[in-house]
Amino acid sequence: MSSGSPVLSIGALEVGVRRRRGSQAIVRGVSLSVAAGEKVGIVGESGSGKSLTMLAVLGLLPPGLDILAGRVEFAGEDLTKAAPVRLRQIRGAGVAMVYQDPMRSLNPLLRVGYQIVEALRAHGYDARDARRRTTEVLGMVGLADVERVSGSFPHELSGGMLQRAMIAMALAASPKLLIADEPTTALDVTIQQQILELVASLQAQTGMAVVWVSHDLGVVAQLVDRVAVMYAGRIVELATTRRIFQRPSHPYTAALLGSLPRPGTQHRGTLQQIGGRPPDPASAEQGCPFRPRCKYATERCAAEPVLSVRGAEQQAACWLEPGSWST
Amino acid sequence: MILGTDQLSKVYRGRGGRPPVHALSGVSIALEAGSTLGIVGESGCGKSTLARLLAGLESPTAGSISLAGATLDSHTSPPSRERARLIQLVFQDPHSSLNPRLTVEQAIGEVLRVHALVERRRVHDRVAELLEMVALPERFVTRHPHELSGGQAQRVAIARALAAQPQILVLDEPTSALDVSVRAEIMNLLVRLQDELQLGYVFISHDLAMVRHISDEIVVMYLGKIVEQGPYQRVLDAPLHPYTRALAAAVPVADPDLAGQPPARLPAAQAAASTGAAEAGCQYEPRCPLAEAICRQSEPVLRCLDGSHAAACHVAAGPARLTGTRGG
Repeated sequence: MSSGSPVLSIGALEVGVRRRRGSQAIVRGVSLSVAAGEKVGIVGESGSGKSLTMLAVLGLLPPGLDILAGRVEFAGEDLTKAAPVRLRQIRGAGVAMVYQDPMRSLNPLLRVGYQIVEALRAHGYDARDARRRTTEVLGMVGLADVERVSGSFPHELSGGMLQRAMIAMALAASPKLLIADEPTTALDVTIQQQILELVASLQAQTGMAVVWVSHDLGVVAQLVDRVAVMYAGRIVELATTRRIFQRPSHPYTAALLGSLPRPGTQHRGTLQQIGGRPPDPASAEQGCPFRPRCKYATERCAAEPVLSVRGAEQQAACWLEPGSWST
Repeated sequence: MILGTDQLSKVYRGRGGRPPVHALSGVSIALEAGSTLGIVGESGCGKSTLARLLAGLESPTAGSISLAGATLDSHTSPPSRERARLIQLVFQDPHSSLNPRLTVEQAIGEVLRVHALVERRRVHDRVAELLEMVALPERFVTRHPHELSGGQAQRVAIARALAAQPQILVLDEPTSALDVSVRAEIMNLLVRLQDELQLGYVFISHDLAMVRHISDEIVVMYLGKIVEQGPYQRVLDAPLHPYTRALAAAVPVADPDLAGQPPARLPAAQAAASTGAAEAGCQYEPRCPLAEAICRQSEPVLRCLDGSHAAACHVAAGPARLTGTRGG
């Protein structure tokens, strides 16, 4: 794990619908810090709040949702208080984001190269430098025929090539932090593998920090140093990648791992099911959000546990004593 | 064998002066009752074209499909109603494969009516029975797709397929659009239904862990052709074709001990070549780290190299077996 001051520091972040009386939080009390050059994974199922948390960081929450409380500091600057102009400067040049579906993140009517040039111009590059930098970053992401890609419209490129182009665009203004939201989910495994290797090598070259949001534990295991597991808008476990996979300390993490066929799982044998469904993120239910689905729930779980230390480099939000349950 | 194909091919005419696309070339598969044939490969390998041909949604350019021993007249279109009943398709995204305006009872009842499987007054009871088979309560009959979670909607899609009393389910990425914890439920359901009903499954997925979990036999496809075929352990644990090895190595493993030290991975493969007219050599040669001179000159044919384990590879078939050149 890298040391030093964090590049991103999220503190007690609450995101939700602001109401005059009793706002409704969907992301609840998320705290996470990412050191310079660190790779952090955020794992969760749909509706767990993982994407909303990252959109909140960038000030890109969809209409109707707001940051209700907490802070988001990027390189020491509180983004929740930053003016829109300042946020636009930080997006791209400080923090860049890559999304799941490159086809929908690019303008279908403009050539790929032009869109990167345009982004760089917005960050103060002159036309010539912007073109030079565009060629450079398209080369960095391993696109063989830079000229052709640059002059193509998005529909003329394959999914893997487009996602490379998106990563090139994200890297263009040399951000300190790259946020990747399921960027390989729509791709073939072989292409996914290439993108993972690409991001790992670019990260090593540039020293940027990476936050990788995914529902795929395997992808995360391969890339990141630390993992935050989210459930119902909260971080329920936070630990180094090795600890999470070897000794999960939250029953939800353990259940997720158990639901995958892994080496050693009996062929056609029953896979572990979690049963039930995640709570409505806006529900006012008290207590541990995983309680209704948890095999080990006790009366104590009627009160919500907070994230607490479970040993070196591992925290979990669970009342159970470490080791008092097993999978 | 309840379902088989013989040298099945599908060529799409090129538009605007472009060359024709050979989506499927000479594919022969065999499926036994109560067993699962897994089909893996990247997008564009022809796995979905195969699914569409099997289900009769399209007719093959050449080759034939046989069902329960009888060769289907592949050139009738639309396919006979009986064939449409016996082979049912389940798609990736249940929310887009179910009609949003129909309730669960209407959606499943439609199948019962079209195939005249039960009397009208029995439809409700039969729908409830089918829901019970997929572990959904009877009260779901009045629900619309938007009122269902992804897992529930996929159960309804499976119940709808079962309504036709098929012998074969063609499952095209049935768990890919679902959350991780829901995938396990659907997989458990599919295994149980297969055991109960002796269904044959053609299980198409890019998720090798799931394919491995449920399949008896596995077919690996590359650019419209079968490059490797055999029992699941053999194909995935001791692959003969370098493409299968690259595919297996690319699967992220949720285990930091394996993930921490990247496996001896094959060199990053370039994007799959176009599916244009076949050239002289092996289609995989441009991406293959083991390619030799012969691979550029003649195309390897699918041959049994080890019992029922077959591969289309000159190198694997040659004296210097892949296992011998591994190491490093």
